[in-house]
Amino acid sequence: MDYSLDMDRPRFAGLRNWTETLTDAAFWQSWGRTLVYAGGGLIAQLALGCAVALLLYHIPRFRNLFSTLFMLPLFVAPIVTGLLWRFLLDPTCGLYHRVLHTLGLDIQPLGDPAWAMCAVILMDVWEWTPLITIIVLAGLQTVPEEPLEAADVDGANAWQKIRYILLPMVRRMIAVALLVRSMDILRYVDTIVITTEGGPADATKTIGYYLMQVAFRFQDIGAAASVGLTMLLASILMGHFFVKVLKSGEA
Amino acid sequence: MQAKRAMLHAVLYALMALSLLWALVPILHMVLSSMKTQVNMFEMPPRLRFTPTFDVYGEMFLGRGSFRSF
Repeated sequence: MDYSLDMDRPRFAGLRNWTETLTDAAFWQSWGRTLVYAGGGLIAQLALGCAVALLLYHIPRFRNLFSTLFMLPLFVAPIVTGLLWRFLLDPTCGLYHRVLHTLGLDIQPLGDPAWAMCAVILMDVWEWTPLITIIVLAGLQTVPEEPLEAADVDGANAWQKIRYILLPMVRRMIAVALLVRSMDILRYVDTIVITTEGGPADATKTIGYYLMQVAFRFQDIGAAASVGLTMLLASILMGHFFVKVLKSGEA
Repeated sequence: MQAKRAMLHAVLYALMALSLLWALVPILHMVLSSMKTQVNMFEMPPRLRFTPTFDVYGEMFLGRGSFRSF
């Protein structure tokens, strides 16, 4: 492998960077972990975000106060989120570690390969659920009164109104929120860099962290570029999918 | 009907409190830690009643000592 960055006499590498990347087992494993990270994170965020948005929509008083307070994690910088959660989950002085301990779960979430992925997903959920909530809540507030009143007349209960009127009407808002989050979560490395550095035993090495390693630890800029292009391709495909979902709502 | 409605509201507020707890405890912990001394910060279980110190804010805005004296 040629590690030198020879700017004066560049040589054409052909497809070498691509074959190197695509035949690297760690590359595919990183994509697998990214799938778990993005899938788990998005599903948890979507469920929690919609639930809290519906909660805020139905709460009789202090809606603005509650939504403002719930939005606060959004304003914490990703790096600070990582530092904060590392502090909270620290085995000697962490608040949440102690809570887990008193609940009978004697684990070190950031040091255990089985739990590390769970921990970084939870950090992402903590920080970005409010984004989904705010978008879905904005959608809920634009739902017109008439169908809801008609449902009241027909004797629908609260759950039926949510299931058959509110959720279908904010479906496009949900698609927008997912579009934004899915493209963001693919390249999200901040909390992973701070808390686990891809470890333990590569348990949280997502594609973003793999790219960072190839580029800045192994100094293999060419291969890193090809990894980055696969990430771009994945983002485009995902964006295309969600835009299609959006368009299908129009028809 | 009235009682049922009151109970529903109680459940809504309880769920809201739970989600706010999830969102705000880390931030509150961070704010409180910023006003603790190093020793209190790493104390377990965390102490809720303590004399706040704003030394770190002073250091952040005014700098830690003066380098000119070296």
